[in-house]
Amino acid sequence: MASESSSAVLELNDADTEDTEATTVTDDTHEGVPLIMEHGYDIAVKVDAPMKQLSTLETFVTYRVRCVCARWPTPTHVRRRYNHFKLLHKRLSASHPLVAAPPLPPLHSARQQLDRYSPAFVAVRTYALNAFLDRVAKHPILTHSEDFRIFLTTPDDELDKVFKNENSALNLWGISNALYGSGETKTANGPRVKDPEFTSAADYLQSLQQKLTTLCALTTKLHKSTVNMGNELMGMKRACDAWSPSARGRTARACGALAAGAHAARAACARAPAPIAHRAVLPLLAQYAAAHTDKIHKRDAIHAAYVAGTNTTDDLHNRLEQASEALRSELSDWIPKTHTEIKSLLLDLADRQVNLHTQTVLGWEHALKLATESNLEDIFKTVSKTAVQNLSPSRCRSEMSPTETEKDLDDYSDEFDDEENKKIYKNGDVLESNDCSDKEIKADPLTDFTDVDLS
Amino acid sequence: MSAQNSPVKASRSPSVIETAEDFDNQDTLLKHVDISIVESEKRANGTLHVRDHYTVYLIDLKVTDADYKLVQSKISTIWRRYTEFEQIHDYLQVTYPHVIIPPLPEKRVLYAWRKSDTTDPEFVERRRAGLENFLLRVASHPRLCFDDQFINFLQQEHGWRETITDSGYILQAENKLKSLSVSIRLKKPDPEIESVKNYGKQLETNLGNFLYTRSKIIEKNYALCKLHANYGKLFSEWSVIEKDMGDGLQKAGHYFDSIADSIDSVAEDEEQLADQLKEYLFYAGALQQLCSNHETLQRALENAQDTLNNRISERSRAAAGKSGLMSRIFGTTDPDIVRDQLTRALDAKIASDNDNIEKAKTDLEDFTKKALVEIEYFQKQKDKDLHESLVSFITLQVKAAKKNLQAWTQIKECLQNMP
Repeated sequence: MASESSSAVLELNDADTEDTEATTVTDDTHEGVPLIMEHGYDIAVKVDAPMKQLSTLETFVTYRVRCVCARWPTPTHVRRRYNHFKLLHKRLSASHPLVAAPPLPPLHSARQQLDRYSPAFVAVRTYALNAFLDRVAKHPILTHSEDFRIFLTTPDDELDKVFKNENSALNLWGISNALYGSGETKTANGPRVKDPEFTSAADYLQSLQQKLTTLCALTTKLHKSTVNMGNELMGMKRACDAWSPSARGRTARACGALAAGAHAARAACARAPAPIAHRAVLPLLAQYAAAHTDKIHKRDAIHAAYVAGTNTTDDLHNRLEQASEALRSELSDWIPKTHTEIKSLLLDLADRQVNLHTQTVLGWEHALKLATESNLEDIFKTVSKTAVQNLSPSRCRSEMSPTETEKDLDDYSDEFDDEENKKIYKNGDVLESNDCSDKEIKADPLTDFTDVDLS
Repeated sequence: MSAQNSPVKASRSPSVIETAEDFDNQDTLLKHVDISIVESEKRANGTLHVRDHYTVYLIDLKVTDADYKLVQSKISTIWRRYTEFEQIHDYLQVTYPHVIIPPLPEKRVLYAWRKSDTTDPEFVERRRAGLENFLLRVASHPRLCFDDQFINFLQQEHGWRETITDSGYILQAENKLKSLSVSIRLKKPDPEIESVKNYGKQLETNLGNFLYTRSKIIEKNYALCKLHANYGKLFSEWSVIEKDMGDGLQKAGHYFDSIADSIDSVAEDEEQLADQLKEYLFYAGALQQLCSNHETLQRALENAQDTLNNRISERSRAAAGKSGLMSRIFGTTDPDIVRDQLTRALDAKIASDNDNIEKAKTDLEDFTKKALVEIEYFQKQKDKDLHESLVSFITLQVKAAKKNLQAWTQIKECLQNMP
């Protein structure tokens, strides 16, 4: 996944096509995002273009996997299904017991079985598989794994011969068992060895896992609530649309403006893109952290066994050193990468929210203009008259419709008043102004006039 | 009970309101005194049951016009509860049927979007403002403000309830309710009044819909903003365990909290605007009430005319000597003496019937004239007020959206500055 790609092209295209590519089930004729290797890596992978495939026995979704690599020749693309990914993951975990393999997106839950082909689900899974493969490709150790190469380069029809379930499982289970033995699991009851370096790492990873899970839940809820808001705004727009035909004069205008504002706000909410990246990647990273924590505990188990002293062979010591070293290098590589990924996800969220609110502000500002601008025209019409005439209230009223003028002026000055202005006295205000001195009434339209000029 | 009985100089009585413009020329109570409701207090009826607790509001009266003799003292305060406001309101409704009586704030909580009842302190505060508004509206209406009972309401410490009950308004109100329950079908409804009534109904519906959708929106918006508090908490907890990202996360967390906090003032402001719209929702009801009153008078006129027509045909039958049941069955005619007596009696009744019709006509004309002026003035005021409220609503939305935008822009900046 191109989280922080030095290649601008990849980034841009991702943002544009991410949703459409991921959510639509396309075929292989669609070229897709051009694969460009990032700085410092000799490989780039991409998973996209999910496609429903029907075979005699079952229906399933395949994903197009593309790869460019300096190390081996690669076909333009291959198609893999979830089970293949699962197998790859299993093999990687087995052949590299000291390294936590990047986790896969989860299997269907029982509920999701009913909706296996829903675009949203497929989109999230595509994204997650992409993240998985990308992490493998960029991993200093795993990228050189033979299983990985086989996965990427074998043509579709030959895959099953090479990627068989049973053999590898048995073999590799044997190896991993040998590496760790079966004795260490008993030390759970034995003396706990506290190694500060790894304990703090484990604590951090556990907290991080929790944080990432919460973040994902919050972001999903945020999006859902935003979409719901959009629906309610639609309701308000409808209410205003129903109202404006029977409303009169300025009220009708204000009503129409409100409808426009609600409509714009709703559109902004509806346009808010679903947080696919978040839903795909955050749980993945959380699980990844958990996997590391697991490895740390295994290492601690070896350490405990070693300290317990019953089996003080060089072999155990070596294994301890191996495990510790593997963890150290892994974490020193993993943590910065993960931080970068998190940062880009958060920035993505912030970006979307800023867009949403910008559109909302624009919509309501436009509505405000619609509701108030014609008032200015009215002010222009009446200003000259009032400015010229001697403004005793009775004289004023005899020349023109007084209620409209006064009320327009009150209107206008009200709009520019403080928000704290209590509207309770509105009726009183209207009648008070009638008793105002000439000067006051003269001053009002002129200052309003200058205000209008500048704005 | 009307303006004639109040100790007011003749020049101040609202006798010459011909047009809507005249309204503004009139003298009103508000031009001489300041009225406000300064606070509220909880009282109990002796028992400690929650039911028996009620709230009273302190009405504060300040005479601003030095020469004003109507109000007894310069500054006076009096405690009144909501039911007493209801009493004066009902009294005004009955006594001035040709006036659109300013409505009271809601009795029960309407369009609530969070759990609230009438004892809620926020609700009490909004009610205080609504009641103050009611008093100001009445005090600035030239036909209503000098009413005896209203002045008493503002000033009379003791025994006001007795005074107002003595006015007999309750009986009138009950009678009116009875007459209204009979659906009025006029032979020749006044088209102008009809259209006003329909307008009132439409306004009521539209305002109702608007208030409903608004309450749904603020409910969702409130929940959405409070969600950001969770982000704030998450980020500040997270910043503790991070080294490089810690600073950025913590700063961002503060902005998230600010979003969650900002919605409270927005909700409060919007509630005030909703109250303004609710006032006009109830005003629309009062407008329809006015139209119903007109219809009642028109009905009375039509009834009087019907009575006359029936009497005339009765008289012509009596003159022909065919007044009784016997003549209908047997075709006999009455003896001359009977015929003359009956005819003369009926003539007298016809004369009084004509008088009744004349009176009903005058009443109706008088009422219509006053009512139409009232309606015209009301429309202007309503147009201004509603426009203002709606513009304020839009302005509030702009403000709220800008606050959100600003906060998120800051959040984005904090995140960008993270290593």
